[in-house]
Amino acid sequence: MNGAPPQRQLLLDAAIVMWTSFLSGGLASLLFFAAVDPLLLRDAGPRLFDNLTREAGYALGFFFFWTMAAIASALSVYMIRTGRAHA
Amino acid sequence: MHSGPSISHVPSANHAPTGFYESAEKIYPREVQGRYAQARRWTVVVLLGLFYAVAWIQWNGQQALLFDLPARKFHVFRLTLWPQDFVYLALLLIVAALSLFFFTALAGRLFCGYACPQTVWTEVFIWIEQWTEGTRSQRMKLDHGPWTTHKVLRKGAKQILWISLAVYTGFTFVGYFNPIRGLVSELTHFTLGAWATFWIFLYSLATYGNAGYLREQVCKYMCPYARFQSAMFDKDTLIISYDTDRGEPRGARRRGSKSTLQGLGDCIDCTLCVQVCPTGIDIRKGLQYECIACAACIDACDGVMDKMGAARGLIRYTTEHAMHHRQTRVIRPRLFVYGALLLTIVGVISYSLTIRKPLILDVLRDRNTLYREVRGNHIENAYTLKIINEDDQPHSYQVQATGLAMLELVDPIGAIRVPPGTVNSVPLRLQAPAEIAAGVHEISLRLSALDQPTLFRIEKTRFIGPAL
Repeated sequence: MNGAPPQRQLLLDAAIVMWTSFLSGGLASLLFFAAVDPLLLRDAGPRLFDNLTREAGYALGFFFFWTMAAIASALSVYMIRTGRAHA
Repeated sequence: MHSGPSISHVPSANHAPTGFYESAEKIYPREVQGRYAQARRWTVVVLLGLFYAVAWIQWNGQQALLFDLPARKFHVFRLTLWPQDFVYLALLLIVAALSLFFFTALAGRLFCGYACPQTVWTEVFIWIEQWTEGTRSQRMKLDHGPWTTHKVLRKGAKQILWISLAVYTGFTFVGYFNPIRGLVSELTHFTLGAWATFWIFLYSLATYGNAGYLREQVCKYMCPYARFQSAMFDKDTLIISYDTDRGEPRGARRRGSKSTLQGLGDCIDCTLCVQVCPTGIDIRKGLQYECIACAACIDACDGVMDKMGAARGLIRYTTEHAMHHRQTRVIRPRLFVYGALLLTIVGVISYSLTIRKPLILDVLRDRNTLYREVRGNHIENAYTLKIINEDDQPHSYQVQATGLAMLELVDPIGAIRVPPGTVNSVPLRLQAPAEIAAGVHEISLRLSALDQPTLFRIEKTRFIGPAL
């Protein structure tokens, strides 16, 4: 899996992180919004999103799940790459 | 953990072996004829035909298949699914996963080779490419040649067809989430909304990029299924294999000459199996994870064996056990287990859909006051009924409350009319004499359709009176 120049390695790691978290984020959005209506969250939450539509709610939710999954995924790659076993 | 055949990471034939991350070289898959290619052409035509056609089917005056996310309603022909029907989505996902297990255990990557959207659209994009730029060798020549008028015309024609198909695909896809006829009229009146435009553009771009350029790289670098499929394989799984015992030692020879007389195997090393491979691997090096089981190499090799007057099947669907001359059983317990689970869940879904009552009742107690004293010596509790009529026709309903003696319904009196596919919130008030009402009581509310006695829902709630 190795042998690529460090910069290219970083780029490819980032690509994989973004892609796998995109899949997980999509799945999370599907399951979450099947059960929860974004408008209910708007009404229950802080008054930040008063004009939120459902479409915007879905989009925001998806980007939230995607970001969270990307953080987990990036940390995993970082831990694996910097661990003793790998070095 | 892998019980199945080991999948080696042999550097692919068309690539320089500099590691996993080399920049991919363009693969020019050669056109191929044969029964598997024929089968794929048919599945592509059927699957894409369904995709493009079903969006236009109307049912009872509305789109037959419409996932109306803004309204949180899915229309599937005569069914309307609501968020309350979440269980069907969950079951459907389980069915999808089990089907994948079943078919992977049976015959490897059947899905990849024939039904995966990536394969299906790539196939059509390659048809367009062959149609505009010619055969494999013509395409290679064209790419390496200078930019002549001929080249510009051919490449231009390909791009126009590719982009048109990609945009139409994106448009159709979005048409499953917004009524497609509405999209057409918005498009012709230049009033298409920003979200719809954005999603059409995004899906067009994805189609164009994936089917036109990324192609096999999606399977090799992006697809998780390609990596974990081997966990579902075992030694009786049908895989596409080159028969090493029969083929080796490979070598060129004259047509009709007996291979055994020259001390050679049946493989004439024509490399056609490599040239037709959409992922650019050499199947003769064994099963590799890049193989999407499209069987193009089988078709190519069968054609060559026919010409050489040798038996077909030097490359064929076979099992690891069969290759090692052991007993093999394709129909095995594992398949029965997956199959039985699959049938059970599909049965449960169908049964529950047929007995499903198109009526939902939610009862919410008044959050502000536990109870009120009214009419001298009576206790009143207030509720909100959420009535969802999931049917495709209007209904009138009546409410009955039971569970406490002398419980009286004061509002609503008379029938509650709910139009099809609509949620109505109805205030409900119940009263009981104070001496009976003291304490907390479990009661049930029964909502039934006046025109259809079998259509009813019973919900439990509480009636609260002063503490004892």
